[in-house]
Amino acid sequence: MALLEVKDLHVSYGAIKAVQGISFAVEKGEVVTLLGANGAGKSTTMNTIIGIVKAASGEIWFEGENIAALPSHQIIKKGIAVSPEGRQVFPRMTVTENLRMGVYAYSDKKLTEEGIERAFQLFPVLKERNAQLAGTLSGGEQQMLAVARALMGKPKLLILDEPSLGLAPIIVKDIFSLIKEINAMGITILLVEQNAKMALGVSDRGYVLETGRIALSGDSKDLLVNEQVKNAYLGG
Amino acid sequence: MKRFLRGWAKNEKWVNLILLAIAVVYPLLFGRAYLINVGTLCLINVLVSLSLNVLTGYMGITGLGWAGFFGIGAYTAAILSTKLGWGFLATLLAGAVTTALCGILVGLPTLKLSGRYVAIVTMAFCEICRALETNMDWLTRGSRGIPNIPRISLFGFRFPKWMQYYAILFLVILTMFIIHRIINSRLGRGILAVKDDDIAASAMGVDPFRYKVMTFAIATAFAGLAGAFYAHYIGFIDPSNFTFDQSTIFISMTIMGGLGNLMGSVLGGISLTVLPEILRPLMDVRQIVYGVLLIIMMLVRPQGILGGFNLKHIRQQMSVRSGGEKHE
Repeated sequence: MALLEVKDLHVSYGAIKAVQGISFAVEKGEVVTLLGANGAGKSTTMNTIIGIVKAASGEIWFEGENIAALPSHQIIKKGIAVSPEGRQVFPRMTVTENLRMGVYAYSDKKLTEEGIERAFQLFPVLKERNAQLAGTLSGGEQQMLAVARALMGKPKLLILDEPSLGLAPIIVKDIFSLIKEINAMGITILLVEQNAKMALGVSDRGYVLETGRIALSGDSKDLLVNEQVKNAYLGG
Repeated sequence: MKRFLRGWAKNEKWVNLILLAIAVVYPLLFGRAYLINVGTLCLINVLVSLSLNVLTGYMGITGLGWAGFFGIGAYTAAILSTKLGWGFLATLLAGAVTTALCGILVGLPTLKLSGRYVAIVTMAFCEICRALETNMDWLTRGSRGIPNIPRISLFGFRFPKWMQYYAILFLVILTMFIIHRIINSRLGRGILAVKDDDIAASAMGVDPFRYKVMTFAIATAFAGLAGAFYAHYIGFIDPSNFTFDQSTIFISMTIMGGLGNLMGSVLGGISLTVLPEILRPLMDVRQIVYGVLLIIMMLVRPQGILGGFNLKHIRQQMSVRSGGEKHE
C-alpha cells in the first residue's frame, strides 16, 4: 500500500479545469518529484491534497484512508505537512513564533518544544536568529524556516512546493542536499518543482504534469535522459 | 526613538501602572463637570477604538462603518431600557451580544471576500443601519430619537458623573485585558497568521474564514458594548449619532493611534476626542486643522503613531542581544 495515492483527481476553479484526472502514488520512504511548468496544476494538486482546495472528483488516499473530504487541520494531524510555494513564512512573527505555528493544529506543548529543538539542530542559523522577525531573514533563510516549520509536527509526508523558487543557485544546492538529509531521517517527500535537473537528481521517481494531466512518469534517472523532458525542462 | 522604545519595553508594567494611576486620579484633580465629561467621552472612544483595532489592527480588515455597529449597541440598550425597563448591566450585555450577532450575520456572507471589499461592505452596512434607525418608527421613533434613556445605575443606585467615569474606565481596562489575553492565546496566533498570510495559515491548519468570522464577532461585541454605555451616558440617541462621518472618526482614531497596538487605541481615542475640544475656539477652521493633521499623519507615519511596535518582540531581541554579549 502506498503512503499517498491520488486517483483520477479533478479540480476546477469555476469554469477553469486546473487538474483533469491525474493519478499518482508516493511509496513510504521515497522522494517523488512532480514536475511541471507554470499553470500545469502543481500547486493546485498540493493545495487539494492538504484540503485548502476541494476536489471536484477523485480520491486521495493517505495510509489507507480517503482524506479528500477532510478539512485541512485534520489532514495535517494525519501527518502531512506542507511548505507552501514562495517561502510563505509569517513576516511579522519571529522565527520561533513561526516554528510554533507549524504545530498549531496539534496544540501540544511537548511536541512544540521538541520540534523547536530539532529545528535548531537541523538549521543552526535559525537558532541564531530566533528572536528576529521572519520578514527580515534572507530568501534562503526564509526557505529553511518554511521547511523547518513544516517539519515541526514530525510529518510522515512532507510536501515541498517549489523550494528553489527565486533563490540563488548556491542556496538551491543547499536546499536540495537538505532534502536528501530529511529523507534520510525517514520522512517521505513529495517535491513539486520546475527545476527539473535538481529535482530529478534527488528523487527516486518523477511525474511530469502538463496542463492538468500527467504526461510522463518513471524513474528519475530515466526521466533525466528522456528526450521530451530534456526539450521541455532542461533546455535541449 | 529606538532607545525610547527599548526603555518602554523593559518597563512596560511600570508604564502601564503610571498611566492607570493618571487615569484614576484624573477626576480627583480636575473636578469640573466639563472635564469629567470630556474624560468619559475619551474613554468611550478608546473602547470603540480598541474594538476596531481587533478587526483592523490584528486581522487586517479595515472597518469603515464602525458607527453602524456602535449604533446597534446603543439602540439595543436604549430600546430595552425604555420599553422593557431592563437594568443597566442587562442592557450592556444585550448590546454586546446583539451587535456580535449582527457582526456574524454581516461576516458570514462577506468574509470570503478580500479585505478591501469587506471594508466597503461595512461602510454600506453603516448606511443600512442608519436608514433602518430612521425608518423603523415603531421601534426607534425614527429621527425623533429615543429620549430619557435611564442613567447608569446598579441595584437601584444612580451613578453620579464621576462614578460613570470610573465605570467606563473599568470597562476599558477589562476590554484591554481580554483583548490582550485573546491576542496572546492560540486563537490570537491564528488571527495573526491569517493576517500575515492566508495560504500559509491554511497550510498550518488554520481555517482563515472561521478565524475572520470569530474576530469579527469579538470586535463587534466590544463596539456594541461601547454603544450601549454611550446610550445610557448621553441619555438621548438619534440616527444622526451613527453616520458615516462618525465611522470616519472611529477609523481615524484607530489608525492614527497605531494599528495592532492597544496603547495606540488609547492614544488615538483620547487625542481625537480632546483635539476638537481644544480647537473649539477656532470654530469653522477646526475641521480644516483636523484634516491637515490627518494628512500629515498619513504622510509621516501611515501605520499610526504606535503602529507596528511589538514590545514583546523588542524584549526578546534585547534578551538575545544581552545573552550574546555575555558569551563573548
